[in-house]
Amino acid sequence: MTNSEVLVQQLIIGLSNGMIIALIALGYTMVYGIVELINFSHGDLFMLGTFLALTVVGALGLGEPLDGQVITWGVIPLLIIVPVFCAAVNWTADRLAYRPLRNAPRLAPLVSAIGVSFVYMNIGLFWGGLPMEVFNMGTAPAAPKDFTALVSYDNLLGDSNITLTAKEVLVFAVTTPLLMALTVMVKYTRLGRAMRAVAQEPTAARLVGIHVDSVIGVAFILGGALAGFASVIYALYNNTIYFQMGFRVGMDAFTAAVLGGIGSLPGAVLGGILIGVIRAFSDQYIATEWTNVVVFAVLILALFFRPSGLLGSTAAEKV
Amino acid sequence: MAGALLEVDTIVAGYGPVDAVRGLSLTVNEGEVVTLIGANGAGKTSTVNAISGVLRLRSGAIRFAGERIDTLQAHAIVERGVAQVPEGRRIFPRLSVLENLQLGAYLRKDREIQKDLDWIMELFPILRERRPQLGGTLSGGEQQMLAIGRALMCRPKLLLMDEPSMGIAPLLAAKIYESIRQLSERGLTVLLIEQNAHLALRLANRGYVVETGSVVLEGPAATLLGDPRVRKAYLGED
Ligand SMILES: Nc1ncnc2c1ncn2[C@@H]1O[C@H](COP(=O)(O)OP(=O)(O)OP(=O)(O)O)[C@@H](O)[C@H]1O
Ligand SMILES: [Mg+2]
Repeated sequence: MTNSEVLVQQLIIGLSNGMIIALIALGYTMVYGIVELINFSHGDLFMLGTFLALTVVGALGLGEPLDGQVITWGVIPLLIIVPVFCAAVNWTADRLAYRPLRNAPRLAPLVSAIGVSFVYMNIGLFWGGLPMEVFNMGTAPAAPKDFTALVSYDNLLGDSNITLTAKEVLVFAVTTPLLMALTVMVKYTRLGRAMRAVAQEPTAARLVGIHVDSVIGVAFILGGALAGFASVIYALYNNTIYFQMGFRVGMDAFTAAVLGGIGSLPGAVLGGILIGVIRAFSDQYIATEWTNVVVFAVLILALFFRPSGLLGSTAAEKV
Repeated sequence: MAGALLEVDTIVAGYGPVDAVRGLSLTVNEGEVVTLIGANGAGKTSTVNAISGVLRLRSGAIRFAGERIDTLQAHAIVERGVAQVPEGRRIFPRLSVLENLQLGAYLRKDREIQKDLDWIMELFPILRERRPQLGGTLSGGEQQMLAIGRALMCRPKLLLMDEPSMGIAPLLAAKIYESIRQLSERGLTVLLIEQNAHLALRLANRGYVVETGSVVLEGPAATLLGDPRVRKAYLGED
């Protein structure tokens, strides 16, 4: 492989992982934007989504694509069931754990979110120990699980040195329309306008007749659904899941949200893509064991020059 | 009382252990402009927030058009036709002027929203000029007009205005008061909170003077304007 081929290859990998990180980062940033809560359980919600995805794969008996096909079309139900599940769980967590603390000091819901994170992780641990064939029955509940290869590894570019598989295509085919739909929703619909109003000035939002709790609920539903989509495509792309993965992936996504400017939707996408690409380049050109250091060094450096993130609102607003 | 649109009946409300409103009662009849005047911390904002359902009552009752509204949530109160121009304006800072106005009509489903937008931009031509500009970048006076416009966009039967002249140059305050007079002539009922008693009492039909959470004086605006206690405490005369 030539140097430029290596670069392109890492860019493909980085962008693919970055798009997945972006979906999760959006969940952090939307909830933060609207209730100023760092939802620490969000990464673990994503993990639960991957466990449900694998369970559904087992239940439907899905396997590798048939000869001549690049994908097992059974992934389509996954892309419906898992987002719905994650949306429902996220909404329920808000209803039960965060909403009662809406007027409490900031620290209280934050601690709840950390608690919810542990609950999810233990559900994941329990889930991984269920006697199901897809969970490699017989191995430890905590052991990483192989996620069935529902998408082919074949190189779509033939015998080129650069590999582009249907997996990468799937990542972009799922994430791009989601990002566009979310943008249109937030920018141009009545509900999107209400979400921005609640985020910016909740008292005034109530005074124009917005049911603030419902709108906050919608933010949790949307964030949860995006995490659910991320669960499915992450599992299809990386083919391994384990009950603690929510911490690592969640950390990347949270970092992405902060890097882009927490509260900013385009910021979360930009941050996610940057983190994905930086990780890939660091893995390739520095060393994998340094990658976490590199990511955080970039974050610190960026925040040094732009304290509210790359696309965060900077100027103090007139009240 | 016949014709009473809003009845606030010995309400008590507050924050933590403190009661900010202590047995306050007032009535606003249909078509009236009623003003509530009082010093800083008297409980005026707390009273309008209680009417809007943003601050919960500890006791007492609030009726709007005969119906108890103190048990309703804020959005349900807006739905019944009570809008508020809040203290400090509370414009949505990163929404455009147009979006701010559209949000005022959040609960409306009728087809006359555009017509009302046009009418408000006639009332405050500066808002038409500033349509695409972000709310947070307007000047204080422009934000006040936007806050009034936003509240009008829900087609209220009763408009609660909390110190619309606060922090605004006298000339612009006079202009805003002129627009309140026009709105009143169109039949809008207004409860106007003010510290500037002079401005408020010259516009209003009736007034209430609030001290430490309850009404200490009430009457026709002209009578209050002539009352020595009002002149001394709120008009800065000896
Ligand atoms: N959010 C709050 N938390 C605690 N106390 C409050 C809060 N808001 C108001 N108060 C207190 O309630 C009392 C009444 O306040 P309120 O804002 O209703 O007065 P006001 O008449 O509107 O005064 P101003 O003319 O300065 O706006 C004050 O003593 C104030 O300190
Ligand atoms: Mg006040």
